[in-house]
Amino acid sequence: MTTIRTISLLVAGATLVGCAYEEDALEHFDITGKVRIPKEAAEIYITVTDDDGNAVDKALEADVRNLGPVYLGVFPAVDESLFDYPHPEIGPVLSSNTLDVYPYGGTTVGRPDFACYQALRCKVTTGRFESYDDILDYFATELETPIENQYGEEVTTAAEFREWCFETMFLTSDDELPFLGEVDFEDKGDYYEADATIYHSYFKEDAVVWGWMDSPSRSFNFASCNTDAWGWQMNYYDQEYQTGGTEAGLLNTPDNFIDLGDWIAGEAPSLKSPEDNFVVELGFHYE
Amino acid sequence: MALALMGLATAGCDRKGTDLLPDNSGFAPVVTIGELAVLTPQDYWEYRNSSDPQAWCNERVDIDGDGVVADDEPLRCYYGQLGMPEPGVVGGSSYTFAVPFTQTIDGDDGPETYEVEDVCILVDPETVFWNHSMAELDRESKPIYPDFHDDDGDIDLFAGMSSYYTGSPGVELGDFRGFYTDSLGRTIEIEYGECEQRGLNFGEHHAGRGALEYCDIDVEGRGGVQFTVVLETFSVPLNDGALSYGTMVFGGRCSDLVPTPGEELVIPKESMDPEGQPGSFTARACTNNLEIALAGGMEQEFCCAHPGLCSPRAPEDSCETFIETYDPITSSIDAASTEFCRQTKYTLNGPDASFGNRGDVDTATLCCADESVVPLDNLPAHDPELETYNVITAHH
Repeated sequence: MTTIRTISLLVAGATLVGCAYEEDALEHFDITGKVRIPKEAAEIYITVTDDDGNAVDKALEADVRNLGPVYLGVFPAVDESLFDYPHPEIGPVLSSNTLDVYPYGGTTVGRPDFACYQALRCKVTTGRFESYDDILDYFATELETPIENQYGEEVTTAAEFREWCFETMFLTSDDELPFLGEVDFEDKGDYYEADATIYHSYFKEDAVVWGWMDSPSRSFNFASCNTDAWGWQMNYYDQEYQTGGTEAGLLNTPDNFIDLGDWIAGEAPSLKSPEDNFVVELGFHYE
Repeated sequence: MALALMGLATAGCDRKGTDLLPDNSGFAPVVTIGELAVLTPQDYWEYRNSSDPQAWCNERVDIDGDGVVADDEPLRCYYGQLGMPEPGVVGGSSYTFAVPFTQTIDGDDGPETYEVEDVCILVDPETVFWNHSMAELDRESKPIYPDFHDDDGDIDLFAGMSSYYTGSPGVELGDFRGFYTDSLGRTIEIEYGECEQRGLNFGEHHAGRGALEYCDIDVEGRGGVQFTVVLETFSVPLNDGALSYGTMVFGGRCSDLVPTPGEELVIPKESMDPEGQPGSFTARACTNNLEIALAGGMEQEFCCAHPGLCSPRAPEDSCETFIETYDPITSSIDAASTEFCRQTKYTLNGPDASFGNRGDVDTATLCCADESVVPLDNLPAHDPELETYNVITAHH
């Protein structure tokens, strides 16, 4: 009897040893660092309508709310051979639609989010606004395009904004709205700075961190966001539309989405270890 | 005793079930077709108006324009049959085509030449298929004539640049998967195949049994580049062990060519019987009428009037609705079939039609004398002033 018990214990022990999985063997890591964007990138021009009904340019002073979504990735290398800006090394090119850079991993520092109203599709980025009032003020005062409700009337109060969000999306708390909350970027004088974590990225020594900011167009649209194909379908009485969302392939084929006016990592820091804290500066203005 | 039972059980596993399959030794499982031409819209019009599309496809094209059609020049398109491969072997056929820089067709004011920006690759395995839905939602509650599965084959379509093709023509089929090594030495498998078939979701899609498969390839700026098309056998019909199919490459987008419904008519008469010489076929009797019926949503009625072309395992009440519709007074299947054949027609181009000039459109009865349950020689006359036809648009 004692022998049987001993054998059972040995078998159980051997099984447990087999479960001692070494996570260090993984080739994927959480890579952390900071993103810096020059203040100049937050000084933008938009088109507004003057009192005579003419379209005129309006300059906005540096404001973190003017920053578009930032897309960051880990790549094998960066070069400038195919485009007029530093871009990740591209794999085999079969056609203009196949410019895959085969990223190792990636993340965003702010992403387009649906902010409850049809007029705001693809116009609000997470980590840029603290409150409903912040959004209302920005669109009414800075962009001069006040947010309109389902009746075409201007939304003037945070209470109405919140109620509409809760009603149409069946929410009970502001915490469920990613476009509200703490602002990603901190004012550092000449530049804005944000923490970034690229979760579960493949790592190889000398891999580089590269990214770009999708700057708003003069009509305050973002090339990386699509109101027709992406997002989810809003169906609430007469409110029937696609809510919009980021395009597919932003990290795999960034060159299909980068356009004039965007701010790009001019120098991509290389990583000797996954513990390296990268600092990537989006200092190259593509113009 | 236990050992004896175990032995019996083991012996019971020694059965492949191949004795249930028809002898298909007469059909090669892996076929190299050679090179096909890229058809112009005018070529396709001629093809669709040909009474013998297999023979039309079997003509070679004077691709180098020297006035002589040589044996190494491409076929217009292709009809063929595949056998069942041995277990563990990928069966199917493959061919190549070269992207033309330009194509020329007859225009109103003489020849019109244009650059080729897209090609559409198509394959249609025999014969037709319709769904006999048993789903709870939106289910078909009336008796339905089921599709005859045993005459259906399935082919999966793949295509890409020949330089990425891994197969050995005539020996084994390959694919378009390759490897890319980035500057840090990481190896990534890449799918170089460019034949993307869209479905409801992301990922690879293929049409099911008997259904047309097709895909567009963007060839802008790729004149002269050679592509390889792989037609991979997915299933071989059980009724004869031969998988008949037709395939072609069209210079243009698939949306220019493929109507919905009506996919079955894009490559017609692909259900075939071997005839004489190896590689010679004739269209199986009446299967083109079955394709037209499916394209027009009349397959249920057509099967009632032509049960020999459809499933022999149809429920007894499959044709109740058909009889009620076409012979409500005497409830006779023959009378209903006669009335159906009299009333139901399909369109075809008249003798004066030409490319760009449709001319008069003729009609013919949908029913097929070889398989109809009633003779079609003396169908009752009709008065077009008083009666309307069921007319299926089948002309191109």
